[in-house]
Amino acid sequence: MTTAIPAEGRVELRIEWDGHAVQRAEVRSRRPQPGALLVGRTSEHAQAVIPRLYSLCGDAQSVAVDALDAVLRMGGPDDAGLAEWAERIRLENIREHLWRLGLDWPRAVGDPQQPGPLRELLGARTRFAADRQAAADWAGATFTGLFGREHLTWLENPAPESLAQWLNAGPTALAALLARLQPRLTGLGRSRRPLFRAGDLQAMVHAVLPRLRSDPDFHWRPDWDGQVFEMGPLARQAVHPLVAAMLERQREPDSWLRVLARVLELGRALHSLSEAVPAGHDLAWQSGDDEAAVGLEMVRGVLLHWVRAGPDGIRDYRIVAPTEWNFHPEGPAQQALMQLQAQDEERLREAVTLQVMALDPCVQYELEIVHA
Amino acid sequence: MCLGIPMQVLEAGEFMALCERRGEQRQLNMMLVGPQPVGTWVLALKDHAREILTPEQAHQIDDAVMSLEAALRGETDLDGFFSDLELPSAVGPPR
Repeated sequence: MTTAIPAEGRVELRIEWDGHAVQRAEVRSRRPQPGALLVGRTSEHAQAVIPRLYSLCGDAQSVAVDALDAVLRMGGPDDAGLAEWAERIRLENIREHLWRLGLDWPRAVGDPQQPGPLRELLGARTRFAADRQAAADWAGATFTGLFGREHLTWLENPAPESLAQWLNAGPTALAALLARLQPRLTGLGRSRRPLFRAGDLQAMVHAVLPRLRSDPDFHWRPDWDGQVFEMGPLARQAVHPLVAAMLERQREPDSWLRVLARVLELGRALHSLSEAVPAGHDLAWQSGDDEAAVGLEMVRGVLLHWVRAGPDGIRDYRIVAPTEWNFHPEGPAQQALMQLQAQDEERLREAVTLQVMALDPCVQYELEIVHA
Repeated sequence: MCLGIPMQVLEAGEFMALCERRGEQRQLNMMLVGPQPVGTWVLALKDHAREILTPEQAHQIDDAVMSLEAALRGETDLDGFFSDLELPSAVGPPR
C-alpha cells in the first residue's frame, strides 16, 4: 500500500475475527480540517485555498465555498450561479463514476481497465464547460459505449428481470463486469443505517448548523437527530423504481445495490447530458447571526461547509465530508464489517476491499485484523 | 476530503512512473495522462496520476498541502504558503 502523506488523512479499520466471523469492528476517520488555514482570513482567501487543497473533488468543494460566500454576502446564491454549479457537479460526478467503474472495479476482479471515457473527459473538461454540444456528443457516445443500444429498459424499468436480461446479454464491457460482480457483491456489506433522502437536505442543513457551532467534534462523528445516515449514489437512487423494488425485497442494502446505484446514476447523468437537459441542483443553505452553512450533494454524498465570521474575518471553518457519515464509528461501513464471515484471512481482506470500494472512501484506508 | 498531491516524474515509464514529492516516492499509474517525461508535474490520487499540472499549479497545490501539514504540526504562521494570493490576514469581515 502507498504510504499516506499526513495531510491526506486516512480511514482506519480494525476488526477482530475468530477465524470464521467478525466479532468486533472499529472504524475511525481522521482527516485534517482546513480551519486553521482560514482563521482570520477573508472569504476570498477561502475561495482560493480550498479548491487548491481539495483539488480532486475541486468542483464540489469550490461550489460549496462559493455558495457559502454568496450566503454571507447576499443571503444566498442566484439562479445563474446555481445552474452553473449544477453543471460542474454533474460533470464531476460523471468523472468519479467513470473512475470507479472504468478503473477500480475492473482491477478488483482482474478485468482490463477501461480508461478511455475518463481520459477523454479529463482532457476536455474545460472545452465541455464552454461547448455544451461537444459535451452532449461525448456523453451520448459514452453512454452507448457503456450500455449498448439494446436491453436498456432496466435503466427505467422497475422489473429486476430487465436488468438480468442486460447482464446476461453482456453487450458491453460494463455489463460483463457487472455480471461478474453481482455474485461476489450480493449479500456483502449489509447495513441497517438509513439512507439519506435528497429531499431532506434543507432540513438537515438547518438542523446541523447549531451542532457545528456548539460541538467542535461534530465533523468527526456527524449525526442528524441521533441517526447516522448512509450517503451517496444508493441514497440518491433509492427512489429509482428498480432500486426501490430491490430495497423493498432485501430490506438491507448491500454492496451490489450500491454499485448498481452508481451505474444507474452514471447512466442517467450521461443520458441527461447527451439530451442537453440542464443539471438539477441539490444545494441548501442556512445562515445565522455570524455563521452560515451550505450542504450539497456531491458524488459521494452530502458535503457540508460551515463558517463563523466576524469583523476580524473567518473565526472558524469546518467541512463535513460524506466519508464522515459512511465511515462514522457507527455508520454503514462499521455495520458492514460486522456482517463479514470468512474462513481465511485472504478472503477476509478481499471482502473488506470490495465492500469499502462499494461505499467509496475518498482516502486510502488501513486495515488491521486482530485474531480474536 | 479528497486531497490531490502534486508529484514530479522521477523515472518515466509507459504505464507506470516513479514520482516524487518532497522525498516521498510513489509508483503512479499513468494510463490517464499517458507517458510523461522526467520533470513533469502530475496530480496524484492514490496510485494514479490524474492530470498534468503546470509547475505553477503544482506549487500552489503543494503549498496548500504544506500549509495544512504545518497547521497539523501546530504552526500558526502560514502566510508564507500563500504569497501569491496577496491577501493579508485579518483584513476585515468577509466581503
